[in-house]
Amino acid sequence: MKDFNQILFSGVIASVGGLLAGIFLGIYADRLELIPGILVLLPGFLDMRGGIGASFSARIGSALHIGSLKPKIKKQPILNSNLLAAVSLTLIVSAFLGIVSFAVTYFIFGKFFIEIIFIPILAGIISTLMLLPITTLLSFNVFRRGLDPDDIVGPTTTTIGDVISVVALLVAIIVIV
Amino acid sequence: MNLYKKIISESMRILVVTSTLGIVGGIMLQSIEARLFTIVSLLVILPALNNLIGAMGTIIAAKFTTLLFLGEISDKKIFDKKLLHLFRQILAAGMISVFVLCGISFLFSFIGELEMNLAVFWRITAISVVTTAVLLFVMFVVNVVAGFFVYKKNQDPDNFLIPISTMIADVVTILVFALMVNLLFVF
Repeated sequence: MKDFNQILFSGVIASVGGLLAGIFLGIYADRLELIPGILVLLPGFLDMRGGIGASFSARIGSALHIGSLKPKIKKQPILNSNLLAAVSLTLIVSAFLGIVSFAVTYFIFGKFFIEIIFIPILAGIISTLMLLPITTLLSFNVFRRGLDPDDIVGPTTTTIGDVISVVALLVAIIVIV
Repeated sequence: MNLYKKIISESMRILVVTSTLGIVGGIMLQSIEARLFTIVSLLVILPALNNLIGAMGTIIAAKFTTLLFLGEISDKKIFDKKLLHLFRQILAAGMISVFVLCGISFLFSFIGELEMNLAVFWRITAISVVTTAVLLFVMFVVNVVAGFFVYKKNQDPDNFLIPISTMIADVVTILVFALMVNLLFVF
């Protein structure tokens, strides 16, 4: 029952968190409608952010369970390698997404909008700088309290990640466009 | 191979593939652009559904790999009691969450004076329930099959199942969502 309650809690939090991201989209719908290719970019960007963030938290969770990582803020090779890998992956995949979104928007929808290449890169940097510390601290905190990080941290960081990703995209659009 | 290079090499390919498939989802979103920007509640609820399904997917993947690493399940018995129990929990939690989500979305629409009445509300609820149920089933099957396959190749399922779950959550969710929107909101 405790397990089901944790899963249900995560599901409700994820839904409500996603709704917050959706509300930001709804409020700025008029502005988004003017950005060619933004709907093409959006799922891929959220996908990238969710995949990197959730993999990171799952690896940290597994390492904590196995005992190869201690829930303490100190120099640990496993933690450092994971952080560096997450940042590198974000930069590379964001650039890839930007280029593909530009190509799709131009060749399929006939709209030339070069700024779409830079929007996910800037948004990726902003969201990474905010998300990785939150995920790390949350994983350590949850584990120290005797709760299962697999039930809580992954879904929570996916939720927070989506809200932060949408906000980061909106900030990147305001800066670049 | 050091850990950094291992994570990059195991994750890069799947992330590029899942991001590309996310672009495919984006193209499907473009196909219903007019409905999304007219009935803004659809645009509001989509990330919430994505998030819910993605969250359930990461729970399935993470719990599955933990059971695998702890030796509590094996590929010799795919319809294990523990796996069936996990699926029932995920489905029940998912359905309760989607009704809570639709209720909150309805309230927000009234407060935000968005275009919403009971007929629109029931259509959005039907779209959300069907999309969630279909996706949870698909994700469970994919995680179990892919998880056993990857584990037998001595690779870490965490590097593959999580991106695959988020990919399915985004692309297939949008596909089912777009189909349901086309079916229930005829312009």
